Amino acid sequence: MLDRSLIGRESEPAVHEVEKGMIRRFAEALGDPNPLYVDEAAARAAGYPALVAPPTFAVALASNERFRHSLDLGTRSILHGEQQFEYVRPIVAGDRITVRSRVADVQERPGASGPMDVIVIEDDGRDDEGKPIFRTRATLILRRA
Amino acid sequence: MLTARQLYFEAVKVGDELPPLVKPPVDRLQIARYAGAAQDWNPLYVDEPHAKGAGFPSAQAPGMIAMGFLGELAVDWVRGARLRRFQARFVKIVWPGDVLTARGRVTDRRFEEGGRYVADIEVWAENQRGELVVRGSATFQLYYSAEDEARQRQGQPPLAVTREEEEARLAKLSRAQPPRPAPAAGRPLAPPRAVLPPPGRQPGPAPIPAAAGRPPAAAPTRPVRSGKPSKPARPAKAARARPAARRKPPKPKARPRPAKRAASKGKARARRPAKKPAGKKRR
Repeated sequence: MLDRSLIGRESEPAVHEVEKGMIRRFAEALGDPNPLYVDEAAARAAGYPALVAPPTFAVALASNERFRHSLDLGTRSILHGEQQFEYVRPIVAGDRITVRSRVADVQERPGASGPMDVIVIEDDGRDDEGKPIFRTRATLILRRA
Repeated sequence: MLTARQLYFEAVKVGDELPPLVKPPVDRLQIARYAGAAQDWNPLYVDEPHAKGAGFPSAQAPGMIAMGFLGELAVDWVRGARLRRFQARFVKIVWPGDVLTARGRVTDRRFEEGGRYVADIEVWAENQRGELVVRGSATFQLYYSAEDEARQRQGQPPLAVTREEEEARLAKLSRAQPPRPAPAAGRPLAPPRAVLPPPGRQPGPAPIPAAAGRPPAAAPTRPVRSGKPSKPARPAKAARARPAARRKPPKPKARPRPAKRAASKGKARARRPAKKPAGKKRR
């Protein structure tokens, strides 16, 4: 059983500068040809200040490896159970976003091969003035070895 | 492809189906590229010996690739609307070589305070075996109409339309339609037929479908419709690249049809493989 005292543990803030190339690579990895993700002229014509990020792009900013390591989840297999995004505004190239990660929940759930640990990590992304841009919530399932 | 045209709230109907999006097979190269692009270095995605050692038949694809396909499907359809919420549950593992088809359907449209117009879309993807792999929903904010967009782009306040005003306008429109030809003389008059509900009208007076954000456990809900045989408004765009030879009876069937109890029907259907004739799901 994962330690429930992890609930509430927070990461150090991580500052991300959203680069054009990062957005393009993300869209290309998904095979999504939407020009708003790759073509600046198209993005401006649609009223955006710069390249727009695809809907699931925030995961690229939310996966704080160092924080996850600090939780000491061990070497068990981690499966992705659920994912949520809330956007206050779209992420665009040139954004500077400060992301804080937090353990929102730790549970035990019955699984096909015995009980599984579930950890829920929330990430909150804000601009330099502290205004919220997005929130994400990832539910991860840890298989017992 | 994205078209220049916007999708406006006034044109969105509950039950509208999104044209299915068939993606090329998720191969190992794509998995590696995605892991790098998303900085998601779960060894189960890229380290085959590790995955086998952990008891899996092979490396697996990040579920987020499938969710990304759902995002592409929804964003292409709503063209220019603002994404507010997007959530998904990963139901089955996606394996290298899987061919996913993303599908979606409008489950709710709402008039919010201050001239904000919101649509909920349920989205899901199935693999080439017809198995549901991911299911979720997306909430978008749209302009009400071209007029609303023009106003807001000029920095003016949004166009405020209430549901009642919309219904009244649509009712007027349907009254303004040319009268039917008079029935042939000599034959008894048929009882008057009900006027078709105007497009976009919701069933019932207080039509907030309760199931909006909460699809049942195993399959997307079906929309509750007001018995009107309408065909879903589809953008001209056809679904992309459709590999042949991969049509199995689908589980989550996408087709708006009158359903009394959307939730229970959806559930029942999900447990059993589709007993409806397959093959018409691809339009």
